[in-house]
Amino acid sequence: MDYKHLVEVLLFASPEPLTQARFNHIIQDENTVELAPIIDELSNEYETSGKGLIIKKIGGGFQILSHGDYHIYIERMFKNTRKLQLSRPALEALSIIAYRQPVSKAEVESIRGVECGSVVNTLMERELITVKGRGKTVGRPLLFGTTQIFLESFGLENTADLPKLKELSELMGDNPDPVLFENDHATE
Amino acid sequence: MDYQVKVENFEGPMDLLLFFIQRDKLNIYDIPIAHITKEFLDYMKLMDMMNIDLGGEFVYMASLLMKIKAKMLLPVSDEDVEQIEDPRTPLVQRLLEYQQYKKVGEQLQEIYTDHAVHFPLGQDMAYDAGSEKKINPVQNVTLFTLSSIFQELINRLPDVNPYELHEDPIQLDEQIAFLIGEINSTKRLSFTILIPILKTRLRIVVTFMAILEMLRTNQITIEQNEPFGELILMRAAA
Repeated sequence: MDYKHLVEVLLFASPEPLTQARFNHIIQDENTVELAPIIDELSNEYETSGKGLIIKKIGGGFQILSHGDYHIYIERMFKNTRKLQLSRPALEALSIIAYRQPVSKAEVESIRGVECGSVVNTLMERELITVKGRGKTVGRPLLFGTTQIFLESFGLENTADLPKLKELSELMGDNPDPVLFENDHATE
Repeated sequence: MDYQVKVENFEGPMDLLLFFIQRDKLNIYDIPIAHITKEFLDYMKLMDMMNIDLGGEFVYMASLLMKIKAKMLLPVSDEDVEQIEDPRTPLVQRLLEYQQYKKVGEQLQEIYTDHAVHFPLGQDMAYDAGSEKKINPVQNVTLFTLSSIFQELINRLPDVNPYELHEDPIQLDEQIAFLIGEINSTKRLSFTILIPILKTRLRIVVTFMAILEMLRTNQITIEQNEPFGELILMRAAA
């Protein structure tokens, strides 16, 4: 059996990213066959021979996807292409949840300074976030985190793939506490 | 006087403050509190004039700004300067943090847009039928046509026949008579056998009351061999 062909077939037939665990389960071989090098080889072939497909590492697995150059034709073929339309508040809340997870709604609200109930509900409906447990603080609030669907929708390998955030101390770092009352703005 | 008002769509008070900071090119690490408080309150007043409800978070922020402003007006002795935190610092930290997530939210949108050009297997997606000619079924239909069709439909509806629901009257005496008959024919009547015959809940309840009544008047005795076991009704020994 040619593992390269097998992996290609599995990638082609799988609606979700193919993980090493699932691959192990499928081949039912006592010896683990590493998925990553096979994918690398395939991926290289795709790139060098200029195929209409690409292989991308998403959400802990690998997924075969159409090449980005032809998206308008796919969009023409289908009525709706599962496009996400997220508002700015939803994106803000989603990024807070993605970085801070598991995080309570109250924490998201304290950062955004506004009520976030409906935004959180929207994100839940789209299955981009889910309840990951309950906090230990008063009221044992629900804690939210991002889902596999989030990774797949945004094409991320994992949440560490997100753009790096600066620590608060770093943000404040270059500018230590301004000398108190140096410029007396308050008396303007 | 002509006012040209451009209302930006602000996502709450933090967003508004960031807008002022950007617009007026203020140093976020050294926010002129008096200036920004005035801007903030003016905005709230403007919204109020336009009957736009801003919500509690704006009121909260306004009071926070005024508190900071007041704190900064208080005289501080030279020794204290070292120890006392700038009253603006917590707000600055919050703004910086929020600004960061706001930026990330925009980046997330970019990441999504970049990724959305790649399609996985299209199994959930329906073919677009739009390539075929679209027919508008309500072309040339006026409101008047619609209303007359609706009227016609209403007239065609069959009359609703109102009817009353009658409760099946069940008499205690009747059930007693019924039970006597049953016990006479079976000698030992088990209560669970009765239930399917009785059908309605009300009838079961009344029959149970009849049993209690008959027990009270010593017409029957009840036997039960184990707790929660079957209830056997028997004629009382005369």
